[in-house]
Amino acid sequence: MSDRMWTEKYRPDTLSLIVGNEEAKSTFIAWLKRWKIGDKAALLYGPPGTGKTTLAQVASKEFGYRLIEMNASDVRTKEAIMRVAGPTAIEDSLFKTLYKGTGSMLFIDEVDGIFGREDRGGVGAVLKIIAEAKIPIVLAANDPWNPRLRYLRQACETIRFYEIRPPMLIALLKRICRSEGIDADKEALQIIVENSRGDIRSATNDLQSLAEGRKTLKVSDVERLSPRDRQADVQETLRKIFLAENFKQARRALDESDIDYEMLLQTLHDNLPFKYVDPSTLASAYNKLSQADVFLGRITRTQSWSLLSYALELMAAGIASANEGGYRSAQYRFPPYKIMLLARTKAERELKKNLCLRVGSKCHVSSRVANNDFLPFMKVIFRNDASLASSIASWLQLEGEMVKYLKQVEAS
Amino acid sequence: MKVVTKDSFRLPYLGREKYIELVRSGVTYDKKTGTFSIKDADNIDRIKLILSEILNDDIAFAQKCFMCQTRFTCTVCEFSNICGTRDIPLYCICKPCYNKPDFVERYFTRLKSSRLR
Repeated sequence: MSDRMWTEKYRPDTLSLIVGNEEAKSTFIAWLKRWKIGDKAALLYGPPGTGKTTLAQVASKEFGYRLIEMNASDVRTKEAIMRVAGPTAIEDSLFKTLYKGTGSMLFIDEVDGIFGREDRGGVGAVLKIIAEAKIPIVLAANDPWNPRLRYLRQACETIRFYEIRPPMLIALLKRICRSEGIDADKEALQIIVENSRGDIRSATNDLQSLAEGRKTLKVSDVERLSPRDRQADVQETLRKIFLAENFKQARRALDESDIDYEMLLQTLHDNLPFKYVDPSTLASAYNKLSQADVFLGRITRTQSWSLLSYALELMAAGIASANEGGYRSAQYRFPPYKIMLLARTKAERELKKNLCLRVGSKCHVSSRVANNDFLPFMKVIFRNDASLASSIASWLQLEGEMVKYLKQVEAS
Repeated sequence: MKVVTKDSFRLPYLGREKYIELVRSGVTYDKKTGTFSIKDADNIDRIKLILSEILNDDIAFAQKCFMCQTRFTCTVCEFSNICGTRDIPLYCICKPCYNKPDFVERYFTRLKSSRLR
């Protein structure tokens, strides 16, 4: 079996191999071609696994830019952002002179990650870099509609990425199957595509987890995927974490994981007794996890994100020590039940909050009043009077998702 | 049902308010040709709602086949129930192209020849 992830193995290396989002690709390339000092940055936004990062990486390579990548979820404060990105963005002449290239391109991924409570001047730092940049700047975000991103949206040319359409995703999966010598049923690939919800990364990971090392892929092989709902990549991450043989491997697996830290801790907590057998090592592992939890609690209270590495070290130590006592194979339990309940309603709660803020600001009432006194009536109007609903939506400048929320009939 | 092509469509007289609503939702108007086009699909549901009021009929947006450039609607697509971008006017692949035996080769050949640079 290959130890290489198919998402890496089949990652496009030229622009012409990037699947889907033709409109976004063309808009981005046009922006990059005409970019000159003083122009807006580009903000690529859309669901995960739709090719935003790949497009920035491949385009920089094809146009001769040296790509400087930075993940905004890791570097959140003004000082940290300016230290990493500031000098590059503002003084680019050295690279051009030395290497006779087009220059550098700065890519800030997950820019929506810096706009939490822990953001200490991060927004201003990114805006300052954009305003003073002498190189093209590309930002990527999953959700650019956070009100805190307002000024950033204005400073950028926004380019939307959509979920990859099923026929295109199927074409990609068929191509991978051919390269790997797998005879896959059309229906099996359709199930994988349906599960992935237009996410290339998920679809490729699902395919690898189901078909790697096999010659055929049938519907019966894929059926167990159906109720899992986009968990294949999470399963892969958990597999890496739990199979770590020593502290270093466990730490690297945790670093590479894109699972939220709190959820990660809960997941480790839920899975440890099913994975490891020796009670004494298990007790020691739980002790380490409890210490990691203390650090995560301090981070939440004080926003001292510098403590995160200690929390991760303790989590890694917990897994590595538990592994010494023997391992048994079992299906990973994810997401943890406690988090699952909250996560299920998070997007809807966020949407409702933004809607109330908008109604409140337009009608000069608090968002609480908007929620209690306005929203119930708006829901009735949106469900029964399309014309009035359209006028209200226009007046309040409601987004599609908000309109959809108001229109949906509540379960009794 | 009326099929609307994203790049260019004509409308009867709208009146000021409906025109403003459309423009705010991401539709532009070209005075020279007298046609409307959808510039920004973020508010596609709202655009659909307004257009259906103006045309007094259900609206479907035409999809463009990436391979043969023909127009078609999501109503004829076998993936419409699993597609997260249903009825958003974007490039897609039409049924005849998808059902061709050498569809994968043709798709990647077309991708390579799309001349992005």
